[in-house]
Amino acid sequence: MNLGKLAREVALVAVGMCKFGNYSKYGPPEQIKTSRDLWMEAYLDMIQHMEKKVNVQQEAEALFLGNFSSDLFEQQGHLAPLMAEVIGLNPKPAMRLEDACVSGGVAFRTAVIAVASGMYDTVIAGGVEKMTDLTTAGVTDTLAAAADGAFEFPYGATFPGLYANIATAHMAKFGTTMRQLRLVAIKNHNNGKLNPRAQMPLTLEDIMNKNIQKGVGNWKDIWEYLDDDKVNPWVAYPLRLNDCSLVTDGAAMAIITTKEKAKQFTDTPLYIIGTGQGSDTLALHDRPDRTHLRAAQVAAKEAFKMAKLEPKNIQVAEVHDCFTIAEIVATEDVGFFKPGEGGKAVEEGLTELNSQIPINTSGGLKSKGHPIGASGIGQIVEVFKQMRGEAEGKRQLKNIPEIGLAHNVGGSGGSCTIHIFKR
Amino acid sequence: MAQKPKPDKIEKPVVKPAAVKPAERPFTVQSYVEFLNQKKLMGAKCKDCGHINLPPRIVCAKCYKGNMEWVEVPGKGKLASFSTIYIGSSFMNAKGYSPKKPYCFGTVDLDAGVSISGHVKGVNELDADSIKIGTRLKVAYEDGKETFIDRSGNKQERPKVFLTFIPE
Repeated sequence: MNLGKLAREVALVAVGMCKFGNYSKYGPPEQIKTSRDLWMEAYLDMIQHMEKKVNVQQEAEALFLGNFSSDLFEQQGHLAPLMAEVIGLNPKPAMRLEDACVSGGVAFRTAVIAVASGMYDTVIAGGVEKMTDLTTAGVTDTLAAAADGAFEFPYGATFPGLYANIATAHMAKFGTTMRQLRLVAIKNHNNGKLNPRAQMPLTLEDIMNKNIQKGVGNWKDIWEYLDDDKVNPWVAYPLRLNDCSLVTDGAAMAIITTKEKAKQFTDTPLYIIGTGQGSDTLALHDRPDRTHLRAAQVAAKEAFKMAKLEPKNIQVAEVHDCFTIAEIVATEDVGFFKPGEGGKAVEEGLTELNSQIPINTSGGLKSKGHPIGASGIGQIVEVFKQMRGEAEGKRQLKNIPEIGLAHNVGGSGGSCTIHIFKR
Repeated sequence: MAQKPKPDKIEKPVVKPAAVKPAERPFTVQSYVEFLNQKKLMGAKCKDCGHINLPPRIVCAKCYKGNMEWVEVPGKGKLASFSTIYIGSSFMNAKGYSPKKPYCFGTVDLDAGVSISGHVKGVNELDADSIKIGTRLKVAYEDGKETFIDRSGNKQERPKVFLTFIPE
């Protein structure tokens, strides 16, 4: 295989994740979990599902850890050696990579490059984030630290606010509608209901019906429900509560190794045949085009060129739906749809399970949850499962995909990674 | 414990905002903020390629050289994107905004060829459909104050001018 700039073939052989959720220190004591607790749960999930028994502590040579801000969320810095410690990797090298919400994607890509280079044969790429110990305002401010602290934040920027700016620009230029935004959330919750590791495994209709039972109100259908300020309040116009991903605690990890060593772990490894990464100005206002993410377009171009494939070849994709508009923009940036047609595609059902290009079969960040530094690895967990026919329940695609993609974005588009996998 | 200044080092004098003159100030974030406090939107014009850098910076964003001069940027332009924000930052909440009183945050393409984020006032935040991308805007300076923690750890307040935009 011609690997472009990768010096040798790299395989993905095992994945694991904890159940994403809310393990806040303000919750019932028996439910409180810290980063290290969640990380160890992800590790256990991984080794329990490993096809062949391998001594991970012996084989893994380094840890690449994605984490956005344990410092601000948990008052815990220097996270990588700690996470290496609790799964028995000390004294091997452990490093933390931070690029906001794409910390996990960047950790994965760095791990791929490290193995491809010949420096290591087998490494662990993972991500972890514990977000729920802060107040809503505290979380909003901490996330806003991924925006331009000098020239966006002091003028009132928030993360939903920045994506809402992308949304109004997209709506004005292409006629994208709020209905199309809401349909992204409906689809992803439909998928997430089928994922036992999702933080909110309920459809939006389930949530509406619960509210009807509780006597909160009565709505004739989901559309009336989603337009009701009481249950689906505005966060940042045109985004309402249900256009936003969740505040989540979670951890996920993966083992990356060489083609030769892959067989020690599994008979059906996935190969990383394309990897791409891009960056852009932190401030949205400094980008000439506020309707698309240049970092994602660049990453897609690089990954597809390396894989010698086109977007139409992809059979399953996890894309970064931190907000509903982000999924629409992502499907255009990756090239599944032309600019401005992502909204229509959702309306036509082209991104549902077993359709033209199933997007976010895991439930996405919207329903599965968005533990910032772990999200990029969580996406890869789903792609791995779908491509091996191991996705739980009815969300397993009928035609087991041979080629899959994961698209992970940092901030409002300041960075992005894209990975393409082949069975 | 703060180290005592070495004898050969002279502490820089504190420059009060009123005393700020463009020629004396480096092309830094701090200078930009201090000019805003004087109700001036100041940018750095590249002497090599003519590009106006707003906010100011020492390395030109277009040609990446480092020969700058201060210019006052005309604060007129048009709204390029916006959102009315209901769940605001703690910073804006402290200014009295809330889910019942959202604020409009947008990006503005200035006629000078540069863009900037700002708080957009003078629009109907509670009827976002009435806010139109492309609306002509001009800079308006809002007198306010900010709280900060001083070196002793005490919370203090000082006057601050906020950059906002209003319809032209």
